[in-house]
Amino acid sequence: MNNTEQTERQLITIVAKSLQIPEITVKLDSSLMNDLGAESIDILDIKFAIEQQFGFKFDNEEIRIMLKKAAEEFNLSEKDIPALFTVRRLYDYILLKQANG
Amino acid sequence: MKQQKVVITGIGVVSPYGIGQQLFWDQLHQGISASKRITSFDASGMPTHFWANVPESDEALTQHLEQKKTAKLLTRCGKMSLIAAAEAVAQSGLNFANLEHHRVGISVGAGGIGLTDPDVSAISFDKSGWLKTSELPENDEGKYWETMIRQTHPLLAVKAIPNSVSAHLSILYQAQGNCQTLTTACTSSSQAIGEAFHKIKFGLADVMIAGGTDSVTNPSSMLSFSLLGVLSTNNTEFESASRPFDRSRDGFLLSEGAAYLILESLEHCEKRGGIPLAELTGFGCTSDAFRITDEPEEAHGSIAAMRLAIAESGLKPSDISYINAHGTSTRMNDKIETFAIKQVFGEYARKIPVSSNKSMIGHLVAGAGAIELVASVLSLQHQVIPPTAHLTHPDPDCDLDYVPGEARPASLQAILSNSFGFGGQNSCLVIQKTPFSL
Repeated sequence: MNNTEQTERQLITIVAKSLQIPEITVKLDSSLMNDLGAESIDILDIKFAIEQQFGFKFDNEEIRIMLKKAAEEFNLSEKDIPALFTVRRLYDYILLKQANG
Repeated sequence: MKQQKVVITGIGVVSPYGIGQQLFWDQLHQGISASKRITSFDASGMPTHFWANVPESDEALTQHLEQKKTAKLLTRCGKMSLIAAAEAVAQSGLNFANLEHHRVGISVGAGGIGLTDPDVSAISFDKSGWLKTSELPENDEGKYWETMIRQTHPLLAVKAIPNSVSAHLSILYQAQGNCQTLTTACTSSSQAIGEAFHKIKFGLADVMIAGGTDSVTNPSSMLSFSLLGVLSTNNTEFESASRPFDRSRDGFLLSEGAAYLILESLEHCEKRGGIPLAELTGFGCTSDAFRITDEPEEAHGSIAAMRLAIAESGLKPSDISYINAHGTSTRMNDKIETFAIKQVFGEYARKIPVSSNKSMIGHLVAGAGAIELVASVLSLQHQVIPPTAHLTHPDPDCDLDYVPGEARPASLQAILSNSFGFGGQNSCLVIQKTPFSL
């Protein structure tokens, strides 16, 4: 298993554990809120677990900009942001943070 | 406004014996002590080396939850509460999904809600709940808080808010009426049940889930109660250290747990064909307005609370068949409670059986009133008075019939349950056998 595959596995484990759902139900394209039933406190828990596992601090402004750009790209409004907040966005963010050291 | 009769249709408990009312009653009526040596941390530096914790670990409690996702939002108090309430709900036979949601309420007596829970922070607390200052930067306050903000779990606040338990119960059972949390030290859950009783009696709700919880079996609670000098330090006889009304008593036994009751108007219960376990008929609540931990010698507050509860029941003192005492095993409480009972009951005080559940399960603090009311409901059902365990040396200041050593079969019609707390709080409840009781 290479590093990115390992990151994906670790992330899926974190999400499944926080939401108490089987890992097999967590896909990269699952929306945390719309598909997996996360509420805002679950997102906080997941972000904290990622920080502890991968050793960086989330920058909420970076996340906000990332989601806003995605909304613009798909010509969606702010109310559609939950649908865009997928496991893959967390995965991409972790890879970005790892690449930036 | 038409006043409603209020019945208890379900009870549930997580006690220092473990989970469930059957285990609780089996052990309690046999006079079995739940006191255990502390093994979760090295207590050798403390004056007291024992307590009555719930045997289930946090993880084991989680396995009993219906919705495991909520576990990360719950302290031990929350988990024990959801388990105990689920047992009460199941016994009541109520289908909460079909009730008029705004006529259903929650009333919880709770204390500190376990701020010392080890899992609120990744590193700032070790497994026993102590702040691990060794891992934090010294002499640099800025770095200290930077570390804390990075390492503290973001859900700390929602876990620690006092109304966490009542909110979770409200969500789980879609109780959209009055949802309240009372924090009045050792009277919290008795008062919570009393307030819920009045909500139904005066027509403001049909069904209330009422009870309470506390978890003081942790190092920081032990430290603070030890410093007040209220805990027994009888380490050599730890199993029998809690000995209310005994001449050699030296303090109480720290404990934890949760107990809940389903209160329902008799009208609502009859309409759906429910089965009442007992009728809740009286609630007396007063404040000593005296001192924070000292009780007044003349016991005016506790006397008034007992009299109010009996009067609301429409009974005379001589109609009470048994008193489930507050009976903490401290020098002061047991002497003054005895005096107060004599003032309320007069000559009859010498004839009425009085016993203390705390001799076996210790002191649940905010949860004490609820677990002792559950014990009282079970006493009514079984027509048996649980004993005051470990009472072997009579005290001239405590000269009533405390049912020492062994349970006693009795014809029980009405039970008075006493709770008195720091701050001068007094709360008393009366339950009665109903013609419909099992």
